[in-house]
Amino acid sequence: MSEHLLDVRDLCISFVGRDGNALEAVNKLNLHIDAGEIVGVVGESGCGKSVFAQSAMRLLEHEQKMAYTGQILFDGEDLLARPLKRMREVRGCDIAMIFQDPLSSLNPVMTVGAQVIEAVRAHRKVSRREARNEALSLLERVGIRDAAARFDMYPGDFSGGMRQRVMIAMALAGHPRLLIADEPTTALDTTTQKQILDLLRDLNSSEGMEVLFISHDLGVVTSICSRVHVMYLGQIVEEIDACGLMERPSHPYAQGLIASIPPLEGERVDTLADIPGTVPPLTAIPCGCRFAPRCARADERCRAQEPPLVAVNACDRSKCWLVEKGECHGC
Amino acid sequence: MMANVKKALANKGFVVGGCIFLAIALIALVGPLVWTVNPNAQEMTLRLSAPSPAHPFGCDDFGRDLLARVIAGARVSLGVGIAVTLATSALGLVIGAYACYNERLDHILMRICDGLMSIPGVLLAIALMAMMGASVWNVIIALSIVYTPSMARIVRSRAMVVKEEPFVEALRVQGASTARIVWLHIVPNVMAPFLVQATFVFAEAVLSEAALSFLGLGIKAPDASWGNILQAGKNVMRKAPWMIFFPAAAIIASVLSLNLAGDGLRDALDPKTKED
Amino acid sequence: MAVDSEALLRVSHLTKTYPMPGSGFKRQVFTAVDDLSFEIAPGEVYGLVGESGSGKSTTGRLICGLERADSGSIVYRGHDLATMSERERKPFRREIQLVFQDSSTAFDPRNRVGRILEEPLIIAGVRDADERHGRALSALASVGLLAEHYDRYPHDLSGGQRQRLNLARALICEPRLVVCDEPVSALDVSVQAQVLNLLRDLQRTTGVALLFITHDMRVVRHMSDRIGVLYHGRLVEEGAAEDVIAHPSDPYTQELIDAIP
Repeated sequence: MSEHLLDVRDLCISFVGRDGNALEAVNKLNLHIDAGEIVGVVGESGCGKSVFAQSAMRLLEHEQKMAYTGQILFDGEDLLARPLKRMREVRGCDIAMIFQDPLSSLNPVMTVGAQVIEAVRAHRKVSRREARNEALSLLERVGIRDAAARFDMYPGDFSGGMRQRVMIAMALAGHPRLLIADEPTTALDTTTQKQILDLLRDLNSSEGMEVLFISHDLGVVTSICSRVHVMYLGQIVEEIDACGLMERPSHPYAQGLIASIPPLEGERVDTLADIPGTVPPLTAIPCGCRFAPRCARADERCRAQEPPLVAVNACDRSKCWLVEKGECHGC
Repeated sequence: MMANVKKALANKGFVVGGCIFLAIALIALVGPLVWTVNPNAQEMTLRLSAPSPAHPFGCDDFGRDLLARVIAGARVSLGVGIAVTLATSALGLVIGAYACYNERLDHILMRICDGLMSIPGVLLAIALMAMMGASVWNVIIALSIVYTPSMARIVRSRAMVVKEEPFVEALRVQGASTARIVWLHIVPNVMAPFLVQATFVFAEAVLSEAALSFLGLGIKAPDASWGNILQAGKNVMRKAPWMIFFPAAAIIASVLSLNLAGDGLRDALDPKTKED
Repeated sequence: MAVDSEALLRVSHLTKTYPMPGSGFKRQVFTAVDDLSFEIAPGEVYGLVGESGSGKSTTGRLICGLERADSGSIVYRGHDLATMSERERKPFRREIQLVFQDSSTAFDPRNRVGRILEEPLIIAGVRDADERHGRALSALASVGLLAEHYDRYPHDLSGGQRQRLNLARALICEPRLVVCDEPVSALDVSVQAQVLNLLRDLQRTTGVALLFITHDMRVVRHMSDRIGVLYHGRLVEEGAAEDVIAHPSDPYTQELIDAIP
């Protein structure tokens, strides 16, 4: 029995093509969320972070043949063992999800209020009036001012940030214990992003709702999460305290990502440190350490043997041979 | 381009439809060389005779060989189809592509199209034929007028989308002329829906030509057309069902094969099914 | 940086409105750019920063001649582009180029890389095919692409490579000003740094002026000599990039900086 609400063990996810060939998008992923925690997964496009998020809800299987190994334990139960038809009982109730694009997730020809009411009534049999009242208080809870006046407006009349608030209100309707947020602020302006992050932080601390936060933005992830997993090509290459990620990451990939962010203060640098090359496609995953071809510090061993994810210190685990040599800075 | 051809050839509907249609076209083309019977030669003793080795499709009410007449009809029907498709395609492409670049022209042309499209196609064709008189050329002109608006609309609506694409804006920033943008960049990018529509126009033209000829407004006797063979056969349906069966089968086979090919082409060219 | 009378581009009192959707007969308008004035010196990198709806992209499109201004002037080397007819404008077209954010739609999907690079030369009247070929190859090399990319289609390239191609196409006719509309926003962080470094190198070597439009304060600080902060179509603050970000004088600029995670 697992003591964590969400405990992912050795998860591998593959897309199965029509010709029967499988493309592995996620490889041996281990991740858990401690009570009341916001945990982040960060990586570039194609690293498998969204595939992982959607697999936790088993959303991909409706369109695409998938192959899983490992376990996604939610409250001790393996979600992957659950029949797909019975996932509906989990979605929205125990686990809710919000996405990058709140406009396409809302029905444009239905009022915002009606959509929240629908979300409320999907989970509990309550009268129309009660559902309306609850929907109103949910909208107020997520910080929509004048919720009563805006109740009968359409999603098109709302700004991007307000739509994302509506999506969060709908996610809250089933009183979920876990919220999966898949790039929830990527389409938003910086000032709006800050408000949404504040809201998620507030919901996490006041309702005790645990959050799995997926993003490509290192700054966003470190500002909201307590622990961050950095993914590269389907694998977690580093798991570190959020405060440690910006200052002393130990994996060369995480170091490269941090170094390539233009600084906001101090002397302007002429040339930003970049990571050479591009993320290879899933069809051409390198041998040994998957990052080795782009790593300045890679040697023969890196190219031949895959390093394990090992503890650097109490708050940092890294999937790099340098750890063994003691060449990683400590926390 | 090669990828599109490959994808089209991998589509079952397109291949089956295309093969049937090519077979019909081949028969129309070389049929008279193989089956050398004169389609207009009357032999009153053979009037309404049933299919036999000498006359595989039987004979009509004037004792003419039905196989030869169906083959001759195929030449007429497919000829009209090709001519209408070419005329419609050329007109539709020019009108549709330029309408998206000139707002006033767009308004005028599209209102004309609206007007033409508000009249049922066959009715409009009948009215035009009644005005111009029955002849092969007039059938082609009438059907081209009927089918150009829908073609122009499809080209225009796709061209409107392409026109807003950043790559077209990039060309404008470079100072490219409208003609260059339209012919070198917009037109090639509207080819997919254009080709699909062309196959449907072809099928509809074959059907409409048959309808006009059936009504006596299209191809005039003694020239053979699937439509006027049917017309003649309608009166002797019980005595000589083969006079209905063979031309009807020819119409169904050609229209069905064209529609099958068109649907297949649409699926093959749909960017949503792209797998590369 | 002092801006004197030799400004390459001087935008004054530029205004652009759009009819509001669904306003029917009442003709309500939305003001995208509102009495905007700024200048860009030759070889300068001017950053225009703002959130969505601030009018920063519209400003770029007005300068490139993709939209017509309602009022105001866009004076480029002494000529007012805003009031020119399409024909009068044509000789200036290739001197002001545009780099798009979304490199997946920035190229005709039916053209190969070579054709994409040679087309601006054809339009500019370079008749010699060998010369065009040579210039396309050297443009590829200048942005770190290989000669073998010449025969590829844009969709065969990665996002970073396509954005390099975008830069190559904008620079191939040796423009004096390039409007970069969010050129790295769609790219991953590691690739973003590569493209920013490349853009900076190219700007230094060619001496082209850039109007760098972005929502990202970090990127605009890294790239620009001076920046202007746009809010609802108005310029609320302008100054040297490092100064504005270190000591913003406008409350909105302050808010933008505070919101950076």
